Amino acid sequence: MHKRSILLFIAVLFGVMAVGSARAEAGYYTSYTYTVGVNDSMIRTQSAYLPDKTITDLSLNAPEEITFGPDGFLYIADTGNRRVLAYDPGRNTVVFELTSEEFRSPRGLYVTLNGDIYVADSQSAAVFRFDREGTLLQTYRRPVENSYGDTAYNPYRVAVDRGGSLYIVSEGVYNGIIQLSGNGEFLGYFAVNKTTLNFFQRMQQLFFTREQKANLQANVPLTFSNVYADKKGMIYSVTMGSSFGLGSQWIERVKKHNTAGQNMLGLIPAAGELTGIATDAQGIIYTCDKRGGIIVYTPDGEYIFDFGAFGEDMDIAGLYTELISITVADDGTLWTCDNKKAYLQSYTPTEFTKNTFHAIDLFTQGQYTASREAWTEVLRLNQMSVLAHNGIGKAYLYEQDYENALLHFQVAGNRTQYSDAFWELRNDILQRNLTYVLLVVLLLIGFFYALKIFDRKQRLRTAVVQAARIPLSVSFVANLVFVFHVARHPFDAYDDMKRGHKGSLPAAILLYGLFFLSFMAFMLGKAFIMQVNIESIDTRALVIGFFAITGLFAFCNHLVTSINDGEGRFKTICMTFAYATGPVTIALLAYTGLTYVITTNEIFLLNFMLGAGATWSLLLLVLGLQELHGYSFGTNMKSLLITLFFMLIVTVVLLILMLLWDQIIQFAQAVGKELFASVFNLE
Amino acid sequence: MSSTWNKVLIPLAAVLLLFCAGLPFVVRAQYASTARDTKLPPERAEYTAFDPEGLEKLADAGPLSFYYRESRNVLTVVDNRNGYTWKTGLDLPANDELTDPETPREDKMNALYHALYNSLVTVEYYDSSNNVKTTASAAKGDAVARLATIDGDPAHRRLDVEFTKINLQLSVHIYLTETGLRFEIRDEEITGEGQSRLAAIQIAPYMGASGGQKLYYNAETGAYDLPVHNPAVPGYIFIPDGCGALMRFSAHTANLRRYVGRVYGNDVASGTYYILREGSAVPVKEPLMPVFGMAYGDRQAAFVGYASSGDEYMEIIVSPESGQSFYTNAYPRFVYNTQYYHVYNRQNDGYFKLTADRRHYDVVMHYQFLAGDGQSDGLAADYTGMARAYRAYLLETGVLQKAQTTAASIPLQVDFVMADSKKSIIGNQEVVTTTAAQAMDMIESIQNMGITHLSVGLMGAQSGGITGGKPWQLGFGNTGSKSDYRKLLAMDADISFRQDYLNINATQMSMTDNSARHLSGQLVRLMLDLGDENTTPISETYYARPDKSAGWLYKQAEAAKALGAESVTVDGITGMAVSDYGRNPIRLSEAIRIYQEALSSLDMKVNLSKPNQYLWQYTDRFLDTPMFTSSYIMETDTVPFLQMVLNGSMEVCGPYANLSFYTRADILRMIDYNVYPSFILTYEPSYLLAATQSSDFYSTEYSLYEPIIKSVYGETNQALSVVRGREWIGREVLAPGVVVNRYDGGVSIFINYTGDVFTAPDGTEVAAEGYRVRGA
Repeated sequence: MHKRSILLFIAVLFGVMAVGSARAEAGYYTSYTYTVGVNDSMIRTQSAYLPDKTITDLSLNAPEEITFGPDGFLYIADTGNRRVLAYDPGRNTVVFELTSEEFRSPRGLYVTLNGDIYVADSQSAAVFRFDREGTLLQTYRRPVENSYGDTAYNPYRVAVDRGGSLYIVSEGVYNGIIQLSGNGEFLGYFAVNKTTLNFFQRMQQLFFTREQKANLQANVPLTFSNVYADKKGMIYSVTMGSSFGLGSQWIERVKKHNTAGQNMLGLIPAAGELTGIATDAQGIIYTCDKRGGIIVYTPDGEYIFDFGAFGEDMDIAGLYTELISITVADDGTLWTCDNKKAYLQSYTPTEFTKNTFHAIDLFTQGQYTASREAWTEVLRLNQMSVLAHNGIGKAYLYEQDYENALLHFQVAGNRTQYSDAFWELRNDILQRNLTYVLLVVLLLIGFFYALKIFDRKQRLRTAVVQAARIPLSVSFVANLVFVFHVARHPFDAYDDMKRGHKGSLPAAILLYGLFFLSFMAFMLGKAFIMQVNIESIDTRALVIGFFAITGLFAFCNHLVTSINDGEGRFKTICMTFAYATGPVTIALLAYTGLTYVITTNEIFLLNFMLGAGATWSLLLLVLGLQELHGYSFGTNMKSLLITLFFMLIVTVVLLILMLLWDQIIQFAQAVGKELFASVFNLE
Repeated sequence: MSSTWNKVLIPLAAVLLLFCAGLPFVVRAQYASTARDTKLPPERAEYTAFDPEGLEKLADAGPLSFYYRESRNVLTVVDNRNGYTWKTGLDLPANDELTDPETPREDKMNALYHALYNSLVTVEYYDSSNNVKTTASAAKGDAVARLATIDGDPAHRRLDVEFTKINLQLSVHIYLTETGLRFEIRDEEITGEGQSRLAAIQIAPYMGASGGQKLYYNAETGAYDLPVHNPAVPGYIFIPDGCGALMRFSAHTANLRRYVGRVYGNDVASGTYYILREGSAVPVKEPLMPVFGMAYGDRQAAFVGYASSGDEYMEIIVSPESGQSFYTNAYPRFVYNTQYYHVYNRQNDGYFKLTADRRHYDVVMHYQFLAGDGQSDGLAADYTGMARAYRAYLLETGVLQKAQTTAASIPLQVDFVMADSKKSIIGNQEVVTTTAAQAMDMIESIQNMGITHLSVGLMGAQSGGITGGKPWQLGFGNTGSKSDYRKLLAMDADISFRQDYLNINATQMSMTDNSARHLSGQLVRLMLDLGDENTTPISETYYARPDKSAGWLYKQAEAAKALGAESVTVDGITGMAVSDYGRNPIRLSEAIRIYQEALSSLDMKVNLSKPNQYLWQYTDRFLDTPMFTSSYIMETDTVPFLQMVLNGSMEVCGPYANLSFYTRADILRMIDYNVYPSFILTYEPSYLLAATQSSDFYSTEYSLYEPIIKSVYGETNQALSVVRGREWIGREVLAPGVVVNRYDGGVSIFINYTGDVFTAPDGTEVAAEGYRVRGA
């Protein structure tokens, strides 16, 4: 989602024409439908909705909001013509025109279940309530309560809950959605957007003087751009502001409010300048943004798909100049309204969409088996649907078919629920095999007791121990195994190493190699639960980074210590380093291996283990270098700090060189070309 | 119960019963036609009789008489078959020429618009700050136009125009023929310093225009300020958008922009920018052929206009009523120079400039007039007549040939996705979805359904798959060995390798030598919508130089032939011609010639994906045929114009049915448009392709589609095998959602898209959402 927003942003910046080859083009859709594919990447999928009717002959002028009434008519706030129309989509006729002398800029519209029409007029600074015949019943002007103070009151969107309370979005009001009772009493601000500070603003708050702060632009919360009440009286809202602003993509911009006004959806993906929101009877949420994007969410705010696009310089059904409002008919048809071009566009859901919604509905109702079948049908239409794989996975999970659940969660890349299913499966296996495990343990204990009894003189034991020691007589092996000694007795061991009694370069190289391999295994070989997508890992960067950092450390430490009376040489520094890696190598390998049997609940254990291993190795390195160079603790720490600083400088210099390198090469190429051209007299 | 009660109750019960019985029909909504259907023909048009006053007679030819009005530069054609008068301009007097106070004045008309409305040629030029300005041959003070007779031949005239303001001279040769008009603007006759600033030439931009508004005299204010819109004329404009679209004349209240159809698509190398970006909007379908037309009334009068030279630089423009003009008009626009963004440093800083030399080509534009319902000449004055007239012209010039059909059943086109690549730990990794052996199994399975006429395209068979496969060779990776492919190709089906020779990427080859260069000297590239360097194998594609494409096609075809292939399937270069501004520039016309030569040199069967008209000569099978339009809001109807033109010359296959094109309405549309079904399939599930560039093939697994292939093919074959080899002579809408297609030999296919049984006037009953073949 986020990535696509950025792409859109770039497209806007460069104003580059949209072209491309539509390979899988089959229907008459005019914008692509996107959904989340495996690995959380955005993919194109089959059309969710197909553009149906384009209504251009209603003589609309800058319409701002559309909504369906209980009579099945589409009500249109025809703002520029200062009227409200009721349009019958079935017969393609206007059935009713509501005008009022009071209308100056009728922008917001809400039609209640009993047919009352609420019109928010920002210039008249009022919300009007009409009955279905068009008789003005009530006018809600600026609240007179003291608590409202001198806050502005220019309503441009309105919604009404089943109790008759009004929820008003007004220009110039930053406190939130104004809530009025049915008789116009100010009940307070229903929902509030919090202010957020970005990094620079935080810094300004920290360092600026009071005068400077006073000069800063007031940091006000983002204002709501629309409010909506569904048939049950549940209130939804969307918040203005572009998602391209610094940090603003982390603001909750699509909200479903509980009665206290709090958001029940959490942070869900949204892009662009949101203008409208609507839900259907099932609770599916539809939002639209100014540049023509329409996003569809499950009732819980899970992203399903998005479609719709900006029409660059052509008028095509389904591409918008400024998409201002969206609403949904009882049969699932979507209706949208373009403010600048002043026309209506409808969409019909495809089989894929109908099946998806049906499956979501069944699952929400707890009919897991039925929902699994419905999801399977969705999968037939789209084998890449992560939503379907997740849906089937969840259904299997509830049906306690864990192995199948694992399969679908893995395809969907759903690690959290994969882990849940895995926990159940592991539990199952453990329980089923508990008897065998206990039996084996008992047998082993019995065996050792028996051995103790029969091998009283420990002949067998001695023989085994001696046999095990044979490899140690090979010096390479002994030098290799010396790493364990280093780990346990670093002072003694490094002292022995310094004197040349123990440890060897070949063994050190092997240890370093093992460290590298364990690092790579850790990065790339973990179980699905813990492994980030291998496709998104730059392996070259890993390999180069590993050798660059370790090599640079040894190199810099050598340079620093050789001018600081350090006794170590480059070779011995490298060996000290290699022998210190023992604990971390083991921790990395153990971590990688254990990911295959743990669930996300137990990750902290592994993290603790890895932390311990790394600290241990680090400690060994510090102590080893201290011993090697014959430093005091203080001198050693100082030399290490200088080493780190030196590494930083080298890195910076290298980076600058790399940046310039490109230009140097180009310069050389240009000179070469010139020479070539002049020698061979070419153009 | 008393008899009085009975008298009331019995009729009441009867009414109630009738009501309930009728309920299903009442409740079911009437079929609502949309812009994706063809609607009933327009109403009959009433038109005024020809008035020769002030006109000079030029010639008579066949049923046509030609007249000219010197002062306004208007050529008038009287069709004596129906008395209809066609004018190359609106033939309007200037408001200040009018003396009679009773005569209403034309709204929104100044000196420039007066000239534009009337002129035979309108010229667009760049002014000193590179803004496009317009002037016209009848613009008094700016242009001088004189009509001359050539070689004493009254049927060959020449309009010499001198645009004094911009120092540009050009001549329009006018040939007055039995079928209509032919205009020629020869390259060498465009002279003067102004030619370097020439942007485009429009020919007869207001011919057949509809709409307009008059201002009536207001006695109260003493001014002409009472606007009255001219009565709407029933009729439409035909444009070759997708399969064909009609734009009926109507007053839109929404403020719509004009339609611009760039014939043969956009030449990316001479576009404005060298970086193109794929967006979330589906690219529009650019015209595959240089033709448009207008029809008035219910098969009363029409013309079809087409270019036989200069077509690659032609645009088809439809300008709706807007804030500037109350007229809806359609015309051809020939582009001579464009602006492009010239980059001068690595930060992409630059400026807009014109190419130093304008484009050099001759324009030849034909207008053929059609009259009546086609009873006499088979050319009805509607889109079917336009299609048949255009087809006749293409047959005459050899662009199309009549194909001999041998097989009794219709073909089934099946493409297999063999493999594609995805990002891997090191480099890219091949994802195999179909092996050669699996392909053989699937072909066998399809043939066992009784489908014998089978054509198969293999996509991504090479190592690296669709994205990584080299277009000049056949080097197989994990999908099978050479001998596997030899066995596959030896099967009893038409099997070919399907390759894109245009869109190339850096995993295939080096771009420096192979990619086409933009006017600015940069490599033209397309940034992919969902391309991401970290997760997808490629994030941008380039366009191959035409000479490279041609070479690769030849080499790979030879390699395929050596393996036993009898046909090739070509993608990319078929629907788009790309020029190249590298060291040795290749202009668009030359690029087209290179593609043509490459295809003509193959002695194999040629399947092309959405080919432009200049390749039809070499096409045996037309793949991915558009079945809809681009959905411009102005478009009111969709018609099978393309299919009518192609029918009888090649096999026409539709878009992949399994990618959301197999509903009842889609199958009926295939039968209606006479298009054969095609599928894209894999043996393995398609989710394996998720991390590849082919992630948009969202549902392709063969086992899922086996029954659907059988039913879709079965139904289309049942209807369309009957008309194989028959000429498609007419198409008529009988009622909303009911169409009849007429073929020679008295065969008709009725298609009923509605939910109700339809009974035709001749008694033919057509089932709801069904079809009926008569006369076979």
